[in-house]
Amino acid sequence: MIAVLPFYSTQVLEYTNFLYWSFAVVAAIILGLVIFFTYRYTTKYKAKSPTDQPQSGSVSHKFEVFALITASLITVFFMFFTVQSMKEIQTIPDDPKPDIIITGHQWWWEAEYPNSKVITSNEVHIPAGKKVLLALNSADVIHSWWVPELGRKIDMIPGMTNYMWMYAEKPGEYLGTCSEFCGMQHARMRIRVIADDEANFKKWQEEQLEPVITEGSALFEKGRNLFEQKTCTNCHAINGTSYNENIGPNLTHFASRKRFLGDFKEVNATNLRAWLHDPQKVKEGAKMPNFILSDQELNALVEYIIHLK
Amino acid sequence: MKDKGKLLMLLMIGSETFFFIALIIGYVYYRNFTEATDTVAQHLDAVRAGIFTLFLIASSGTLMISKRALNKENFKGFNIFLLLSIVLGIVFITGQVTEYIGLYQEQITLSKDVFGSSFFTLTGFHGFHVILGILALLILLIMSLGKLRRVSIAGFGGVEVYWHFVDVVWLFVFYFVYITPLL
Amino acid sequence: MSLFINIQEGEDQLPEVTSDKGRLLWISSVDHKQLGIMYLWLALFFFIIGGLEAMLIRAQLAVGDNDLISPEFYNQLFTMHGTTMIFLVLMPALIGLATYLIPLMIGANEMAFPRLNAFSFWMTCLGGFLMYFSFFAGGAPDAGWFNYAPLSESNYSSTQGVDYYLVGLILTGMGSIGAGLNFVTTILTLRSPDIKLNMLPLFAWMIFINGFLILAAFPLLNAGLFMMLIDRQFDAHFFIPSSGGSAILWQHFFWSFGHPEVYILALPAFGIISEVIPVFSRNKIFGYKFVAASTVAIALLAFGVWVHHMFAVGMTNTVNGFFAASSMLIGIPTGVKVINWIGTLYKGSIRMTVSMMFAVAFLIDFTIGGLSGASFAIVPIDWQLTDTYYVVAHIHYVFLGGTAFGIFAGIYYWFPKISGRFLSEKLGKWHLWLFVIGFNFTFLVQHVLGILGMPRRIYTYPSRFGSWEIFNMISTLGAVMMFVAIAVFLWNLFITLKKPRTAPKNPWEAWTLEWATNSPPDLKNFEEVPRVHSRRPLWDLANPDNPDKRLN
Repeated sequence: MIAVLPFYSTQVLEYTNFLYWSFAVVAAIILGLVIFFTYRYTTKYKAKSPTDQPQSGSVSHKFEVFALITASLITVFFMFFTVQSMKEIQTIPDDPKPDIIITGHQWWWEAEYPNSKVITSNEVHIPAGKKVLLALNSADVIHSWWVPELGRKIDMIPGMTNYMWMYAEKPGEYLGTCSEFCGMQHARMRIRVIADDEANFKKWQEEQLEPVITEGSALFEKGRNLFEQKTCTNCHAINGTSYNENIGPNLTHFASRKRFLGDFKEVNATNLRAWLHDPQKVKEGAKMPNFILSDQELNALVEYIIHLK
Repeated sequence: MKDKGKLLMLLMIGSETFFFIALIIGYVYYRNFTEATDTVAQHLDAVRAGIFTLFLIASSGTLMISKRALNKENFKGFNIFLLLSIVLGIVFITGQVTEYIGLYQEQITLSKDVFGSSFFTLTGFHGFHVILGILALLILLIMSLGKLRRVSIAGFGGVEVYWHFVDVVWLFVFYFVYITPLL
Repeated sequence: MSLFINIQEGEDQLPEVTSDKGRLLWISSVDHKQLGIMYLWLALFFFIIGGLEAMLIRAQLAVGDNDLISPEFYNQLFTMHGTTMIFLVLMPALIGLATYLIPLMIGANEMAFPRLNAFSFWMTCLGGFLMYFSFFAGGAPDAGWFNYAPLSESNYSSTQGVDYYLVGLILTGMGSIGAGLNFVTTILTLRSPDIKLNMLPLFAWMIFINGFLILAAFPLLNAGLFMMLIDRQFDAHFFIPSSGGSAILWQHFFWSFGHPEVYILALPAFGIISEVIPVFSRNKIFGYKFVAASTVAIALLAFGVWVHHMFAVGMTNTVNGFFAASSMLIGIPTGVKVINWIGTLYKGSIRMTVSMMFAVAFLIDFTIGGLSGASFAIVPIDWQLTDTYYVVAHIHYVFLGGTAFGIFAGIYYWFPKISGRFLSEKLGKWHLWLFVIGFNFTFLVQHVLGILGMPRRIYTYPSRFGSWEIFNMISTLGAVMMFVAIAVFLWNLFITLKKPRTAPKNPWEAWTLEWATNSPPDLKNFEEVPRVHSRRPLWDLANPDNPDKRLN
């Protein structure tokens, strides 16, 4: 099966691809006929003079009946495969045990792995070559989970849990995006799913479970104290410490991530510093308050957070 | 159909029906398809509401009598029964208002929870329609008593259809809000 | 002496317009022609505003990571663009044409309820301006034209914008219901005694069916709007999940209105096309009965397809399957209509006026919109492509390539009747070609953007996605072409309205009754109505030796 576009190439989307291609063919034929006949008739029967009257003569009504029957047959064909592929794509066990629970927030993602108790944000790691069951819900407004190459799209609705299968054939990084308008920074709520092979995924999980470093340079220590003083802990949790408020993104092993702010900025000291200095300037509307930190304070906090590995 | 006033009113109540269906669906949806329990239903007095329902039904009856009187050109009878319909309608509204006051005293309010919201919205919109109906009937009465001598049969036909519609809507509201929780 | 007089219908004295010259008389007018024209001006006014909003949107999206417009303002822009174009442009334009033409087409001198007619117009007008007032009252609505809860609730949208949206739409909704009531009653009660229902011109027939659709669909929206207004103003909990409400219920209300609304906007355009194509092909419409009956089928099915807007919310496969089937079914009567229009061209003698060219453009672009729409009925495809630019492309092919092309065809067709002057055909062709080419440039590539994974309603996208940038730039350039096309159209209007009135009664040799009146019609449309024996009364009058088959 040739993919519609490279984006939808994985096995799980085989059905979707089949349907899309067959639909594209049917649609192209219909559109071709409409354009052909419209063009042919409008040129062939174009009035030669303003007083020209038609040769009179009408199409047979049998043609209408023929069209109706053809259309119905096409409908039956597509209906059959639609039902088939819905079953294939979206069959959830009665008592679903999700591998990952993903919660949408304005405007970032929280991912919890119930089996290993790992909690992370924005970057979701999955094992490649294995179907992963996702449970999706939302902490505020409606979001929608869509990683085109890895499966269907499904809304994340507050007060409701949806389930879907995600499957990555090969290890790699897959991009996706929030697909339901969710407020000011809907555009900057992108998804990065990292599919690792079995061994790497296990390694990643173990790393995530390791306690964070709590001691370091003097600057690091200062940063850690600031993290408490400046009430960062009221929103951000760091596993293995006493900070466990899960309002903002979980910062445990923050530095092990590639990008932050909903896949918006690369994780590095400069970007982090700019963000802490004035969050609204970096990502307008974000829920992160501006703490009006001095330069020294910024240095210390950046030093602390950038070492959370 | 050449009686365009009545036709207009029939079409309009057809349209209004969809409005009330939507509101009733809301109430039923919250009760049956969410996990919440109906907090309003247990504070409602179905018997009391039932009695006031009878007043509303009676007002439809009296309106029919007054229409018959109008057709027989018995204007005195028409006025009396029209007035009676208005009074019965006002009794119904009074019942609804006192019920609201009672519920508010028990802290059952519009903003308490979703059942408060849908109860007051549904019955409130119905009450609003009853009040509009009463006003329309009052206008007819004043016109027939006062110096304005032009009252068209078509106008009366329209108001009458509307009044029966409001009555029927109430029966559905009564069933879904007051009766089904008891079943 | 009797207190009561049985007043015969129609003897009711109406406020009378004694002259059609005074400007102030327009605001007190209850004349269907003046109200129709005011509807059209209103639509044009908001079309310009909505178009400028679209241009700002396209300017912002032309390149990635653009910060021309703040995200806050962008969200207000696309919300107002959608709401304006649907409720304040397409609705008034179609209702305006219908208000102007329905009495003329059925041989009546007025609508059944002239005051209600004026009320409808002023409600629409008030609702529209109220919505725009929100820009001066702290911010326009910013939760999308679909206004999904809980984003539209006060905890996530704290400005007054959404309140203006709600009240504005309730008012325009009441206006639309009034118009719907008036169309149905007018067509049922004021037809010339000769005209039976099966002899109505197709435009009148579609407006008749449309009236019922309006009457059934708008109350559903109004109920939802009122509930949300009560949520926002009186702290109710209908659509707030955190306090027991349901976010999904709003979507059901909105789309059980929203999908019929698509047909409310499509049917009158079908009607216009069904008038324009036969007249300029010099042929009878092919399959009148089929076109008329399929309209009824569409109207009924329209209320059973709304969940296809919600395939991604996570309903069961059974529910999705049911609505997939109904959505595929509704495509059939619509598709066969296209065959009827093409069948009308067959062996005609086609006069390629601007109006006809717009109708032909409609045939092709509406087919594209219909087909991309049908692809959403196939649930797995919807699961990929819903809420991407593929949908944006689809709705614009239906509303712009469909309804708006239909309206333009209608404007060029009826302009001599309405104003007594001909729009310049030369400028019209510039308008047409620029608009049609620009339109296809803008929206054809958006299908690709959707397939590439670009979600809708984003104020920007990462500039590292090179292909997105290329397609978005093409799209923006197309939008600029459309902008120029509309400028040409406005210039055409401007210079035409300065010319003297020269149009004869029936310049296109058309066959329906509106062409039996003067251009423009006198205040009293008909002193006497021609006898009607078929669907083409003026044909019968012009060809007494070769009349159509008698139908009464």
